[in-house]
Amino acid sequence: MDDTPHAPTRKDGPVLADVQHRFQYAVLASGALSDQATAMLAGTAELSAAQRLGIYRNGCRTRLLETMEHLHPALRSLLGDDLFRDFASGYLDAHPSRSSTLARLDEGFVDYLTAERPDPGGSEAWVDILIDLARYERVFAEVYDGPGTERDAPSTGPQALDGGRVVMAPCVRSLRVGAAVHEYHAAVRGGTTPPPLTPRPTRLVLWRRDYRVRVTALAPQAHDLLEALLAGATFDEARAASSLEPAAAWAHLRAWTASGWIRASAEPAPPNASSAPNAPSAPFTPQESMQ
Amino acid sequence: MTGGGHGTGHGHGGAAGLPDLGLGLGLRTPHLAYVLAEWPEVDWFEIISENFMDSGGYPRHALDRIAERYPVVMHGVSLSIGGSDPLDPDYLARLRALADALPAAWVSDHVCWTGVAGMNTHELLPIPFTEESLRHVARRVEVVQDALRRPLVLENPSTYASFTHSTMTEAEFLGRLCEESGCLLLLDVNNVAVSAFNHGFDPGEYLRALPHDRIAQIHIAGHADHGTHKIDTHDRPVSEAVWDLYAQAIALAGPTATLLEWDDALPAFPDLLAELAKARPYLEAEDGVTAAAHG
Repeated sequence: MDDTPHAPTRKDGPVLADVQHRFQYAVLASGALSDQATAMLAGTAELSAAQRLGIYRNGCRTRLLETMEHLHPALRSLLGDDLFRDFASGYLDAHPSRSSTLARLDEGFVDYLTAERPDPGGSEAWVDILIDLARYERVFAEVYDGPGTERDAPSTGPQALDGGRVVMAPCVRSLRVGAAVHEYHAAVRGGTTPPPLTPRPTRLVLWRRDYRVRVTALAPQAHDLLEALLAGATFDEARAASSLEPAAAWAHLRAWTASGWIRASAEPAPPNASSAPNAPSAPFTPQESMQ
Repeated sequence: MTGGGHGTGHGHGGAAGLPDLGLGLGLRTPHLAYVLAEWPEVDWFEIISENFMDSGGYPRHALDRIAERYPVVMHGVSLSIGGSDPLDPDYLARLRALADALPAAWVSDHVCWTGVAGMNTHELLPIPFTEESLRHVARRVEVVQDALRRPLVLENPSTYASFTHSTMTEAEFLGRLCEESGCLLLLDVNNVAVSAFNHGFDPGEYLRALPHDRIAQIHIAGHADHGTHKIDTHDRPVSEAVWDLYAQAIALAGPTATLLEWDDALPAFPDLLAELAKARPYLEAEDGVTAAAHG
């Protein structure tokens, strides 16, 4: 059945908007090209109207699939080319790009994989692992090219934080994954073919320093503390959520500040703070406002 | 100003007051580290605007450093100036922010549309050359130029399909668009060769029909020949036929800022420079003709 958008016409030809809807439908759809789509195009003996439209369709699909491969090299390695292309094609059909940049083409890929997982009830660990790997690659790209702190003055540290809110650097992300997907990803990026992933619950933090993405695994309690801080909790709330002793939580906070994960406390400054030697730094203001 | 002190300026300005920047290269991510390390002798760079509009990481850091030493031109692929969806004010704001920050010598995109109903095919899709399209695109050019506070430079794309209800040629459409909107042209001679083959028109006649005083920049690139049609691939050296068209374009428009595009199967940076250098004799020959005519 031909369900191509139907085009109203005026005496000087079809309306531009309708021409474009028909053309786009033909470019993005799969299956045979309809007469509705090809009737508005000129064909020649060398190349029919349908073949000409097919050039656009093939070019579009090839570009988008190659972009998905570029964005997810590790998932492609894990799945193999054919299965990866099946997943990517399904995603592209279900979620046509609405972004001005191809770098965001995969923004809904993890949600798509989660919604379309083949195991009822989410019972298969390998499905979790491939979704975690896709999520890790997306987060890695966001940290790499997102806002960072390289152009900021160094933070003065988490002084006078008692009960206060902590301002995290914008390039810090936490992840809970079911396998060491970061090691698999690093191996693929390094040009090697790692062994298949096996279940191994891991708590990760990704951040960027000197324009390089860094990743490390954290112990569960420390990761709980970090997750809570990233969610906007105050230090006291985050510490309570992590069950860490105050001294241990403080130690993490100091270490994370030194690592650039924490920019500042947004706590109201104590009296005369501006002249105090240990005054808290100003709340972090992102340098890049174009996001 | 430039990395190696080579400034090829040809001693005269380009179209509508824009400078003739000389010979430039498309700046691609795999070459960022090389450029920062070697500061190669190239007159200017062109970036794909969308690759840097939202970047806060290494690519943007590298671009900012490169823009301190070389003129940079912004070339977009998602403006969709011919699209029937409303222009995206957020996109225009981000485009202007980048153009102001670098600052960009000028901003260009394509005479095409990329999607409707909020979607982006990421393809440069053809428009029918009708009075309706002309009015539509000219109106939008004015909106974009107001938003960017600078002239918009528009490129003829490679096309593989044409519309039966078009009422004018592409060259006529571009000429009238320049006249009615005040935009400038980025003449891609490789795209002229590709489209001429695909649609069976005379590329020389196409070049002669353009408003030569509106040509601010020229693109050269390689394409693939599939027998029945040609595809704009940017993955190989410039063909002899395209160099011939380039010579014709320079003879008609005078020495013009020229850029080599190369995207796929990207060679080492010195190989790109060698390919770009092939354009120099054409510019110098025309410079000689121009000098003699004014001598």
